[in-house]
Amino acid sequence: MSKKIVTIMFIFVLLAGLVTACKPGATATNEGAVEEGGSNEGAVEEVGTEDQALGTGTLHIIGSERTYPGEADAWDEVIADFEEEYGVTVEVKWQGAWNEIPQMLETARMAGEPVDISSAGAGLVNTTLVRSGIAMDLTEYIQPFESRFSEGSFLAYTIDGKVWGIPYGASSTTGMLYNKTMFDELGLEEPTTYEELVEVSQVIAEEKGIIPMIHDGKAPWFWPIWFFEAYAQTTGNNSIQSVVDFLSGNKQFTGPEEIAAFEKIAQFYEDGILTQESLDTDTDAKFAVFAQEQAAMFYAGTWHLAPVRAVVGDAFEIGIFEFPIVVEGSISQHGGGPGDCFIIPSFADPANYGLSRQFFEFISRPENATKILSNRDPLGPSIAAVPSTETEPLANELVEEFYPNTITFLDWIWPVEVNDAFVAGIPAVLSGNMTAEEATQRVQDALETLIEEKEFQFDWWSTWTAEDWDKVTMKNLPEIEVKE
Amino acid sequence: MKKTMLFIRKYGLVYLMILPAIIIYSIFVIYPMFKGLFVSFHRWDGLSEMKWIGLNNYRFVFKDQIFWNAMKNTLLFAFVVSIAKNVAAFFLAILLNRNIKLRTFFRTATFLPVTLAFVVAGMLWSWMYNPIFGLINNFLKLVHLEIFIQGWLSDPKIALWSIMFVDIWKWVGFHMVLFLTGIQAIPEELYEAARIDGAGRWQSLFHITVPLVMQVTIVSFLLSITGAFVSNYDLVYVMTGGGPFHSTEVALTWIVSTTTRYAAVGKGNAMSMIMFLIVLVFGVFQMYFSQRNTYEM
Amino acid sequence: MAEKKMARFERISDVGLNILAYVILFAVVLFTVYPVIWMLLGSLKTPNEFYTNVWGFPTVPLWNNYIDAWKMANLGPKFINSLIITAGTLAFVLPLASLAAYAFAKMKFPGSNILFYFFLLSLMIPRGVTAIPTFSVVIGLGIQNTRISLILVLAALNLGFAIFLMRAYFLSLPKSIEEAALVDGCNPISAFFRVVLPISKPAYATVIIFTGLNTWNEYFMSSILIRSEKLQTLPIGLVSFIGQYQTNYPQLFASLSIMTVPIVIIYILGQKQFIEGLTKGAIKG
Repeated sequence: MSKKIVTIMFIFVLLAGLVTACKPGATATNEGAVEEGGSNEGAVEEVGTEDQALGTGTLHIIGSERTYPGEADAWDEVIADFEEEYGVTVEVKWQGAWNEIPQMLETARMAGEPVDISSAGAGLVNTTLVRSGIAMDLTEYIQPFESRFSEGSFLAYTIDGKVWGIPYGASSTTGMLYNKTMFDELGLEEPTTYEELVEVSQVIAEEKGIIPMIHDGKAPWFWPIWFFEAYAQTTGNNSIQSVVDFLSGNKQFTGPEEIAAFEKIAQFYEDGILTQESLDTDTDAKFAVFAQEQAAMFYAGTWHLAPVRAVVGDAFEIGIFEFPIVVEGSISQHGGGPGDCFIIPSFADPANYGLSRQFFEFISRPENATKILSNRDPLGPSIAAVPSTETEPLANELVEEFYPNTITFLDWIWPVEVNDAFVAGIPAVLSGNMTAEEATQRVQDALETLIEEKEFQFDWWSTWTAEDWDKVTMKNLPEIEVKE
Repeated sequence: MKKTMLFIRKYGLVYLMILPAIIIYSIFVIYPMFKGLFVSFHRWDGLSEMKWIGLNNYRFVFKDQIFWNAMKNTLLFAFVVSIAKNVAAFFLAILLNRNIKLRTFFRTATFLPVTLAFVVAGMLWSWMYNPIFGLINNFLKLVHLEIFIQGWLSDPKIALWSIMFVDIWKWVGFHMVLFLTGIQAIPEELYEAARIDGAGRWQSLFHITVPLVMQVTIVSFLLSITGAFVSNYDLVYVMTGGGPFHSTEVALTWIVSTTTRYAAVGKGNAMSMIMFLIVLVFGVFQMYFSQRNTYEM
Repeated sequence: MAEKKMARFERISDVGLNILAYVILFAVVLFTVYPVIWMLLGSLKTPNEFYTNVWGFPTVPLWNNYIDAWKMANLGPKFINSLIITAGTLAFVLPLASLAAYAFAKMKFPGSNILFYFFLLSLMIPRGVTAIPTFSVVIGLGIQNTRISLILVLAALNLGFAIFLMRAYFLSLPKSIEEAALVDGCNPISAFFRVVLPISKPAYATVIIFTGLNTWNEYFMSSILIRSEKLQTLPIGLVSFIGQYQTNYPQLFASLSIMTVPIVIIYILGQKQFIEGLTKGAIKG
């Protein structure tokens, strides 16, 4: 009999525990939420007082995990300075991977958490964030400090003539890294044309018995970058316009230029420059192969420089040359651009527009920007006053020769589904599992499926109603102080 | 009234015993499931408003060749891995059940991979399979068996098998423990009796051991099958990301891709529902089988 | 005569089989343990060495990697959070599941089958589909961004398996045990507490291991339900090492080791219990 009672009590204790646990305990969600102090509501003119610019007194920033060593500390330092100078509080949360930002924004919005600023990537901004209406139009917002940014850095974030993101990081570009010491030893010069590259590769293969060029074929998102280069040349350096035409439905992707681009890439494999191993290698293995001199060259992005130097150390000298000319008469054009940015979520508290604006002014000041960005060993930082890293020997060559020939990554323009068609198609063509024609058809099919299933329209901005625009337009932006 | 009172007196306590579990389960698992079902009838990118499109997502899924290829891979994965795991685990459990010294050591050692997160196991084996540095290819070169060298993760024909192997590697220890538990629950007298009756080793095995661990076997098998359907995401994602050419794409990786990368949450949920139904059918089959085969002591 | 020969044959092949068993088991052990050792070795190398000296011992063990990893990802609080979440989940799963499983196994009542299958459904739900909806439920209950929300969700997700396993175990217990207790005059409930529970250690052990592991390594739900840094668990802390462009593998492996080693230790220690439970569980006569 008593055992029965014990059981019942047992169960009730559990239930009780459940119920009490349901009481909102330490929920950090509503801290610093909309206090109506200093809100813009009363202001009619643009001229605001300092109080108005300080909004609710607390700024909320979210972003993906800071991965460069030292960067998180630098942020803490700069933020502390900001808090002191303006007498406000800043709550910053770095969590998750860069591709989790849409999820983070959505869950924050669902939970009613205040978010004034969010980090984002150029790809996400262009393909997902802006068209879903979660990013605010920042064209007017950036005016006070726009001039501090490097020329052209806002281009990657401009859609329909409006600016949607604030680039804050380094600009990237791509090229072919090679083992200069080995080249010198074999008496080889940097190749500029494809034929020269073939010759160089043959010499390397014969004399050294190693793989001429290795590529991290397993990193799926890197294959399209080959396409950017090839397509830039096969379209007579008109690749961006071609892609826009394709996405707008004005042209099919199955034309001769497109097929040629695929075929040019396949040739790298046919002529023995790239080998089977590339299909199996991921980025870390690629570095290792190169460092152990099992391959002499690899196609790299500037973001690879720091890691590869860490692995190679002093073993040999590294050089870089541009993607070779595969179509006579064209220029080598590389994909690149400033990949990291900040956006203002559309559900941010308008009372804090002034505060976040001041924050951006603050972190774009030369001394603050340098503190933070120097941790990335930046090349071509988006804030003009931040010096490019001095520790990278190739910096000058990159800045002088490569960056001028850099255009926006095409995968920041076309949607993810289309990109996947390239990701699957390029290695397939390379290894002979698919013809170039079939690959281009796949890309075309991907777009058509997208249109059918998602009612995709490239120029989504022309479908927006006044109401849609209203949600992303800032009103009554308070002025901020700009310190030179 | 009296009937109700009687009912409560008879069954009240029992229901009370399962009540807490049901409450938590319904709130945090079942209800969200239904919500997910609801979303599957909409087009949603996870950020803006949802738009009702009825059964269209399901239509899209049926047209989606990659999804069906992924399902095929998933089924293959599930069966091969389950059978291999369980057979190997059973075999090992029998070996371990003998009076072997160091039994604890063996058991702990084989269980080690189970403690690894899938991510760890995946990364580890990605390096093992690496064509240039990998232990496997290097070992084969060492013993002059180069002809066996393959593109373990880059050859579409064998990449999936390479991944399956890792899954087996990881879980064998766990299933072995399950079987060991079951085998050791068999009373010694049965074996004694059989020996007295003149039964040999193999006969004991087949007529005593196997039938009496049936219950455990079923548990073990069901676990491995459903696990292969619904939790092999990390492993595949880390090792190949679904490539090359979607040859290792399994249902889960494709669902997550569709939901997060393509921002097609509705369609992804529709896929989940379809997969859930398929797994359900398998589960039902298995339950039916197990009912017919349970031995009572 | 034939019998004697058979017996001798059996004895020899007994020894032979034993040897074979040892060989196989050792091979298996090598196979299963080496990769883990490799992870430990890797955690002590420099990034350079990690790529160039992939398989060997580190020339100079870089114990600093552990300290750096611990600091960089702030693993201390995350470690504690992982402990709390895992312990909390088990605290819910074990009592709830064993009670329910016992009811399903030993008691007849209307709807018992249906309800049991109801729980089984959770084994078949693909992960991810319940993620965001679960979050909105949590918000609705007002417990967002708390540890208890994650505990409840993970407990709910693990109930299915726990109930399934325990029920199977209870079913496989010979009726004689309970009959003995019942004869002594206990009702089913006290039979459960007095007799069945003590010998269910193996079942508990298995559930603890399985659910414990699932929860310790869990990333997906945690990343959605945990919204502030002070509540983050270890798996989330790992992401800081997987940069978009580069991975510091030795440090990553160091934190992976930090994550894995406690489990291994617990399992090794817990093993003694399991063996005891197993041998005590055998019914004599």
